[in-house]
Amino acid sequence: MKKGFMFLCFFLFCSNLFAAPLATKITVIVASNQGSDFDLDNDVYRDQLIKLFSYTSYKQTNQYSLRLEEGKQEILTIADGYQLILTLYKQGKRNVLRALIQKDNKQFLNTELSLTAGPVFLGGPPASSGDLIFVIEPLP
Amino acid sequence: MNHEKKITKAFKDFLSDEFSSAQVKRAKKDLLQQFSARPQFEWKPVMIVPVLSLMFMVILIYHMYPLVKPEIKVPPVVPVITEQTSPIKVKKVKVSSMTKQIEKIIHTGVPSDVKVTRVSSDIGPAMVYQKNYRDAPITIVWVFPKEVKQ
Repeated sequence: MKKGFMFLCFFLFCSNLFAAPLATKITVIVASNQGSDFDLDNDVYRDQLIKLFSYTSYKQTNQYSLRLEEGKQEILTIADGYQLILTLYKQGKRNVLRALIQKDNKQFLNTELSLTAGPVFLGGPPASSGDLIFVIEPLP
Repeated sequence: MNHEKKITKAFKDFLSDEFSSAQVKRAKKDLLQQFSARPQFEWKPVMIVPVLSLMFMVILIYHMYPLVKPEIKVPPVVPVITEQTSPIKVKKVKVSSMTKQIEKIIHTGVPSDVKVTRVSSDIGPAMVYQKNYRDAPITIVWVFPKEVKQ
């Protein structure tokens, strides 16, 4: 009884110390100056996109809800042969996200960011119908 | 007088021999234990409450400490140019009017909760922009491909 209880307490304590998976939403948008369409499932980014960029058209091509686990790679295959590879790891108490956009063994963008709040826009790689923008947002 | 001293010494030796004997020592120890022994610990279910409370407090403090602890935030260095190119060169990259817009954002760099620790690209200069938009930090990591657009 006593040992079992102590084990339970220890387990609860340890499980609290280890990182839970990080729920993250990834939205893939193709931005261009062809037309003036706003084709986004979620209008939350509309204002931000208008404010931040000068494209006239934004089309959402994919949206993913991921549960990123420490050390586990998530590979998303996007249009035009692009891959978004996400890896989460811990640096102290911070979640650090390594994001790599690659195509044909070329690293289009390789970045590491400590993600706590706010959307992060990764962009610039050219696609057939515009420029790619990846919106990475940790979910509460 | 000398005789009296001898008797006193012999008596003291006798007493010290008596008290330092192993048997007497053991008896003294037993007697002390009998009257001053601490009660033996016995686990009772009611003890769960304080133990859980203590654990809850430890966990709470563990999670709250980073929020309470004053954190020195170093303003991010923006823009981060990863290739050996100057910001002036970036202006030469023809990325339509978007470039101008982004340049504005570069100069409004503000501390953000998102810290970009590394940026690199095989295809052109990469830059980081951070901006507080309606009190929400926004971070942009952008690459300007040198190659011809698709």
